[in-house]
Amino acid sequence: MDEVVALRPVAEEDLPFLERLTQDPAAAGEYAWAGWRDLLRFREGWVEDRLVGNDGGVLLLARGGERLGFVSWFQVDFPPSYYWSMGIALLPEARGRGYGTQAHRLLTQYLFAHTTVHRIEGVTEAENLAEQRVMEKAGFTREGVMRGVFWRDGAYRDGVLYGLLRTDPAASG
Amino acid sequence: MMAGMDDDLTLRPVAEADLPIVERLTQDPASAGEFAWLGWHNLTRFRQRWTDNRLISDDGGILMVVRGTDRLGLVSWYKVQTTPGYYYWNIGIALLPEARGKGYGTQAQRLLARYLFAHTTVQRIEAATEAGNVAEQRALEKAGFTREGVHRSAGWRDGACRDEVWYSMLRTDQPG
Repeated sequence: MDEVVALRPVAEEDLPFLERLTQDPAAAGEYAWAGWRDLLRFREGWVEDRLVGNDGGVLLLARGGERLGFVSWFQVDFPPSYYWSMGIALLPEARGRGYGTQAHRLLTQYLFAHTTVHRIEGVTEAENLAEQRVMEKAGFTREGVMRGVFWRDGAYRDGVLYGLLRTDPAASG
Repeated sequence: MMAGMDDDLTLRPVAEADLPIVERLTQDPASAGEFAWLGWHNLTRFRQRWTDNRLISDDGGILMVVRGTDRLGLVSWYKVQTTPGYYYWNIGIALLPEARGKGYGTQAQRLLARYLFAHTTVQRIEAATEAGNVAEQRALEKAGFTREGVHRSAGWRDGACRDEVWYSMLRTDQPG
């Protein structure tokens, strides 16, 4: 029987996995490896609020007992309102198998269900075509290219911005 | 004083005597105007921040836009952090009704971009304005900003989600 891909809160024994995905250059991969910073952030965040707060969070993506990666979101303030910006990290061996698309759908459904936001966005590096395909398959709309929004590996990088609205067809999928 | 000096627009820190104008621009619906009237929130914030740091910190700030002794409005900026080690500025402007439509917005935003590129290391300065605010879009374009796209429903004003047009200027775009 096929195990279902699902999101769940991060358990203490997942912390080394989160750290590997962000602090091991090979596991992070080309577009997510931006140097070592703030190495304790997952442990501290886990102690503080189990990595789910009112202004953002991290959830583990798993298929049965197998950890595939994590999704995260943070609040973008746009007074007098706000919306979410989301991100994803998958293990190298979990990439290219449709898990990313499923993870985006699961997180956007979760956030639209439990918060009042009208918009969820994601920004990915202009050269990261795999993530752009995933956002499009998950129903996001490409809204523009934001120049110079990242710094990675010695150079400024453009970001492609994607948005999904509560009223978009994919949001009710 | 040299001829023409009075016409030059300048930016300067907010003085205590300017606070009523800063408040008028954000808390008086008629002065704020259609696109900047967002309701009353946190009414003492400008006074508190003026006491704290004169409205300038490492995360952003507010400067008055003046022409001679005339106070025309304000410009502001705040830090946008995309990764732990990287940030850029998002800027905004508010002009008094009587100072609109005269090209001051273009000049003021150009001055602020020049100021921020001179005194901070950022590569990018961005600005967002509501899709219906055509005057501000023209001002940003005249100031040398590039239109990057429309962030759908990013804003909320007067009971509805609003599309926001995003603009940016890179350090490498700067004219002269």
